[in-house]
Amino acid sequence: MSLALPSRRTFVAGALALATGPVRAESASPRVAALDWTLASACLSLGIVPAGVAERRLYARWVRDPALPASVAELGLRTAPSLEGLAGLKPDLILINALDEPLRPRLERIAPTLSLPIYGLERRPLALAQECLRDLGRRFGREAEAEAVLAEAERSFAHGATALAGTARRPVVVFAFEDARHIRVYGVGSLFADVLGRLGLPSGWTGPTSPWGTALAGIEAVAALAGTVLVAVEPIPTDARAMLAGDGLWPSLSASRSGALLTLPPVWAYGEVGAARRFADLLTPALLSAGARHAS
Amino acid sequence: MRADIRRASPARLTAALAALAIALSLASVSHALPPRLWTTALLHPAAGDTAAILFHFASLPRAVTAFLCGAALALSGTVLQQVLDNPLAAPSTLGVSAGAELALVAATLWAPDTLGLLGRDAIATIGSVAAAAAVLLVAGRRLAPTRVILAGLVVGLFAAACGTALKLLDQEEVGALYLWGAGSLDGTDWSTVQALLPRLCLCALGTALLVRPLGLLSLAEGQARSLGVAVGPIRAAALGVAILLAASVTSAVGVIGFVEIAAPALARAAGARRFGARAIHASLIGGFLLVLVDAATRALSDKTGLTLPTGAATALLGAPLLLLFAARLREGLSGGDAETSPSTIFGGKRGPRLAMLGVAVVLVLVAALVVGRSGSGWSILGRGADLALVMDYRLPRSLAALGAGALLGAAGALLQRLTGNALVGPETLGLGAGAACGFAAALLLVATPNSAILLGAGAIGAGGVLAGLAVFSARGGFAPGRLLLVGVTLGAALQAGLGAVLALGDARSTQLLAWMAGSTYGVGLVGATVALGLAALLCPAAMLLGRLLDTLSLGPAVARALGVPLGPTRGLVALLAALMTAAAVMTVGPLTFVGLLGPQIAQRLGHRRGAAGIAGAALAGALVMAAADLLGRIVAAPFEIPAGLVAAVIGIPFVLALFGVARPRSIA
Repeated sequence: MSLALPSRRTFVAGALALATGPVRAESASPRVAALDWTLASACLSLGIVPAGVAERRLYARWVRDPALPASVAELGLRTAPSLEGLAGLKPDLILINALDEPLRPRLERIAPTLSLPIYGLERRPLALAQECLRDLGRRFGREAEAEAVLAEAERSFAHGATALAGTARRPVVVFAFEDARHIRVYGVGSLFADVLGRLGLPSGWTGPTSPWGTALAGIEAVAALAGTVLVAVEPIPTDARAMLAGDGLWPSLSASRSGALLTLPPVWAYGEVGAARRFADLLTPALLSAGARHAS
Repeated sequence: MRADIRRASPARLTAALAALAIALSLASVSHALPPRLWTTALLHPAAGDTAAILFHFASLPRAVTAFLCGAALALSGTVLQQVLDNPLAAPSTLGVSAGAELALVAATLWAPDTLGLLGRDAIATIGSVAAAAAVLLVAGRRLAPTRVILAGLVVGLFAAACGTALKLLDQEEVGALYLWGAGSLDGTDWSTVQALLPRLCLCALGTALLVRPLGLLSLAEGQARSLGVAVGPIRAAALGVAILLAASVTSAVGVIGFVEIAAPALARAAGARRFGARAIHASLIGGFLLVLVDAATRALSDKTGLTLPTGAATALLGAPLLLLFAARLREGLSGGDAETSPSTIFGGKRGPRLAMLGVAVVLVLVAALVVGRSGSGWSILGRGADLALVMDYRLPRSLAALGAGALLGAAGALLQRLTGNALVGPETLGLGAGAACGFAAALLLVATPNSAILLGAGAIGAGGVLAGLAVFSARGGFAPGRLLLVGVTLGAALQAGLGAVLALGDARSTQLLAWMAGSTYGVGLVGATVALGLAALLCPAAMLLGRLLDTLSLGPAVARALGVPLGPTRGLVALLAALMTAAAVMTVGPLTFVGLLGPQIAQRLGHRRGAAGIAGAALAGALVMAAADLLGRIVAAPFEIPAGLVAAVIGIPFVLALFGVARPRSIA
């Protein structure tokens, strides 16, 4: 493993540990195999580098932050990880999500298998993600790191809420372009909607959503969303970009709207506390500068 | 109701549908924009007026698109049905949509730049045309109807298997393609119409030129030829037009099924007898039908918030209609077509005995146990892999693959005997799609179902199809043609339903896709024992029926003279084959091609009759499936390629090769 400078996060965690108690001997890092990207990123934020992760290449494209070190082994598909590879890794713990439950009997024979719910019918992913991080912190003896990550996210939310308090605070609709004709909207039950709540912003999408808080809609659906701020999370597919630049339905509709379409760099929509903080940190300045443009 | 339609003239039916479709569309539009503002909104929508902009840029082009797509699909279906002389022929039969989807998946994953450069339309069209060309090439020069349909089925399944394998490897990137697969008219504006209109006009013109010669094709082929009709070129031209029509629609809005079959059927039922009249009325009926379905879907979504892709909606509405229609048909797909019957398609060389197949199965099993590979390299038994690991991971899945392969092979042999058609597999009975639908329902209804629930739901789905097969084909005494017809219809309907679930595009679609791809992956020793046990139980039963089937294959009259009760025997064979298919599909998914491949390998080896033929097919099926499982495990390690997909990808070209070399007149 390469030697890395301590990040701000680990530095804060170290300082906290120093301040709150006797210096704990660095416990041997547990060997964790993560079949779920969200739990993998939670581990990374606690300073635990997973021994193996499923679909590494796609993790780098979709989750991005926190990045996976090169030492992490590839376990294969998320839906069908290589069991022999997993067994060869000799993990202490396997992290899965609820949809991997049918695999549990096979996995339990390799190592204790843990599934921590974040998304599902409860539809409060941010709160569950916070609990999940605390839970992982307790299991790995990294409570201080967990609290530091949580506190950092809280600071982001508080900063955003304060900064936006003076603005019009119009309802926000967060979505991603599926193609030139469809959008995937993030509503109740999505991480993004929970973050909007923490920033004191109403969510502009009130329709029914999947257990992951998403809903599919044609682009004409935005017509019904008068008085909202539209925020598209990248990546934007090539054909959707061409559509935005054309003179069809969307451009005609957005011409009649107040305020342009805001775009944010990619954030993992099914993520945990880290993704929530990243989303808040990206959204707040975007809304502030758009508000400033709008006012002038 | 049915009697009314029969009495009505086609013009009256068309007019009634048009009135209904236009009324419903206008009613939904007037809700948002009062009629007195329509002219202004149509000509000069004001920049700030959302309702006017929606009218001009969304509602209107959407209705026009729906009409164009419906009309084009109906016309395509009418032409194909005339050329192939089969009322259930459809563009999807020619692999058009599967080819388009494979091209889109490949472009999205490997060359995303081409999507921007050429546009999705162009890439989808290239895929459609390539798939259809492959079908026609395989079907041979004379384009005999049965060969075209079966070649279409095989090429379509091959493209679907490749597409699914690619999708599995990159779930996030291809999310939008699920939507496309379910056929959605959301977000259409005038650019969609602009893309469609010129192509459709050109195709319509082509059809108009072909009306007279195509009308003559309904005469017997020999008769038509003696009248100086160039049968081959006319068929080729007509197929070209039909494929282009369907490819244009598919590339613009995705996969929309059933209109292509339902509209021509309605036109015929309403009394449009001649081909020209049928083409015109079917196009109009298809166009208004899709407008109607789309308007109804949107009204439903406004009222309940439940959004359903238009393609999925047409499937759900069209399936019952189609089943009724199938039940009324006196004959289905031609049964004992001399060109594709098992004994003529493959020259029957005397080959090695069953023992050789048995040895091969044992060799593959040993290889599967010894060889493994993970992300960190090869792991051979004794070097990097111990016995516990082999017993834990390699043994159960290999045994399960053997069992499922044997079940599918034997079921295929039974069905091919039953239908007298060498290119029929258990996959065509719709049982796999039934099991997949049960699985999908469990994923939708129970948030996190366990394996027992999933298995049960799949069995219920397959059982439902079995019941449907029994109910709808019992009336004809389980005549082979009708059985196939009902099976193909049910399978297509359920497949469209699956498209709607896949279009959700969230983690549940991933789960469903992974299961459909068919993997022995999660199987433990219990599952393996069940699969092997079922094979050990049901294959001998199938062999017992072998002798009876030989009697049947002599023809209905002989069977009757010998005192074999024809109907009940056919029913029993169908039931057994269905059971075997369902049991296998639960393990390896619905996409394998082993049920088709097994019997053909057995035939090549000289086992064509009775019990030996079925035992040979079972052994060959087991061999292919076990080899596919081994390959899928090591080829891209640590990425698992599901055994079902591997079997399809390696098996189908083999089938096509056999198909290609078969000489129509080489009677062994």
